Amino acid sequence: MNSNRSIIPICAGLALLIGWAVTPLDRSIAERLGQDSEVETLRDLDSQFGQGLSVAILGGYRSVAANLVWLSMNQNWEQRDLAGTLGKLAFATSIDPRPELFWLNGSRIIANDVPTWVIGIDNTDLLVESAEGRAIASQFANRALGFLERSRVYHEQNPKIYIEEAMILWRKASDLEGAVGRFEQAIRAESPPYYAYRVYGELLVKLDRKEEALKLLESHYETLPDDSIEAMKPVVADRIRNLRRELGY
Amino acid sequence: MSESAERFSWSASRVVTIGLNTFREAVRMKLFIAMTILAMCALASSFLFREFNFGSSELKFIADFGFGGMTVFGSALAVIVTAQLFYGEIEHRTALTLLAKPIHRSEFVLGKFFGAWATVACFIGMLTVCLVFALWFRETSILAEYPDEFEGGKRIVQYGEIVWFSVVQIFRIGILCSVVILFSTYATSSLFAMVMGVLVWIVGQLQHIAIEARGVVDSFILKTVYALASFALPNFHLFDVGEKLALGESLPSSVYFKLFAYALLYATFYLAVASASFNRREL
Repeated sequence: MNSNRSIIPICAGLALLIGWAVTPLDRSIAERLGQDSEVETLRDLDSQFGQGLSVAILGGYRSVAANLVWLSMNQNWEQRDLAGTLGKLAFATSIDPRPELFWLNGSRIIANDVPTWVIGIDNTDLLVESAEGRAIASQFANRALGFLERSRVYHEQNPKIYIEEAMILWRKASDLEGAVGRFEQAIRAESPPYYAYRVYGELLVKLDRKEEALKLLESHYETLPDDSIEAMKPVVADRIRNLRRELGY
Repeated sequence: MSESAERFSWSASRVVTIGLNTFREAVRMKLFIAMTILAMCALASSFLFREFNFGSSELKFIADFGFGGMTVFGSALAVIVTAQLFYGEIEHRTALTLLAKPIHRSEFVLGKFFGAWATVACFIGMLTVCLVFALWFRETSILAEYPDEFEGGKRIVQYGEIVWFSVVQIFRIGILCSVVILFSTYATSSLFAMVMGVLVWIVGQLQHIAIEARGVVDSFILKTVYALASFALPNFHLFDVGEKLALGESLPSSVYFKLFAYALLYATFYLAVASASFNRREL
């Protein structure tokens, strides 16, 4: 037996003491880096994909692991497996919350596809016509909104997330005022896409707030470049003309 | 330790000499060359796997592959190389020849540590150069193909931050090498030192979970167990700064300084214990 083993208890005690002493430093670094809980993520990884992926995540291959989960989610989506799809959507975004595609496509799946699976693919009309169908649509719209809400930490200034929320509120939850609020946030966010203004304008017209819609489009028109196809400057000009005509200007 | 050994003074130059020899020996190891080639192939494969990338931008995907390679292969290399270089000297009895000369055992421990650490730092450095080149190459092609995607034609990859990520990984590897050295001073086989090194790496990587768990359990016994688990080993998760950097965020220098202080503290502690242990070891 080695005589150096006699110092093991002292070393263990010192290791604990150092661990305790560096706790404030440890916490301040973790807080600055915004490191979140990974307990659930790792537990799900082990149960659904085996320990290989856990090691991949621990080792830093985070985006690769998230892509594999996303790929696997698509398989569940094709089979219209509700639990598998929703579980893996949440899972892919918890492994790697950075890609906006995960959030946008995920919310579309929850708000648009899942209700049709629940009511039955041959009864999709009922989602609009029956009270039960509307309740299902509304339930999953709220779930999609909750899903997008989780992206806020990572995509606080992403206008596409606000636009997606607005569209769900408008089309699926019939909450037009709520949709207006989200469009407002979208156009105030960093580099909103041109179509955000056009769709927002249409929503205001639908709410019979044509004056506001006109003001919005006119101020937006002034900022539009002449040489961009996405800007659709002639379309905006047409809409402004129509609105002015409708308002009797 | 013999009386004659206690008579001569401690010398940093002997540490450097041992470190340089260790480094030279390590870079000639087939394992080092194989790991370097493997890590570079893994990085190159990101170009093949980019078709499977659904979420993040292609450049972020390549950066993630590079960061993953540095941490996974870097840690594996740190454990294996350090155990082989340190315990190998004991196993093959070459340590006896070396320590018969006027060399303090602590000099031997430190020299071996710096040699192993420099080897892994060299590996990370090479991988960083490859990653920077891969990103620059791909960014240049994307820039030429889709100039509108780049505001004002400016490059979006922050190459300086990638270098900082590598530096942070070198801090992490420093702790891991010192832990493996410590286990090697106790070990009776290099396999034991390697297995313990890998375990410390995994537990250290998961250590933040013990910290979280400590806050949510009510049982005093469980709280104590989690507290012991969270205090006993360094938290390697703190060094996972790649996520922030890949998001295009820059970290303040205070974070780098704190990470350096954290790594220095742990590495110094483990090396001090390793020296004390090695002094008492019968070779």
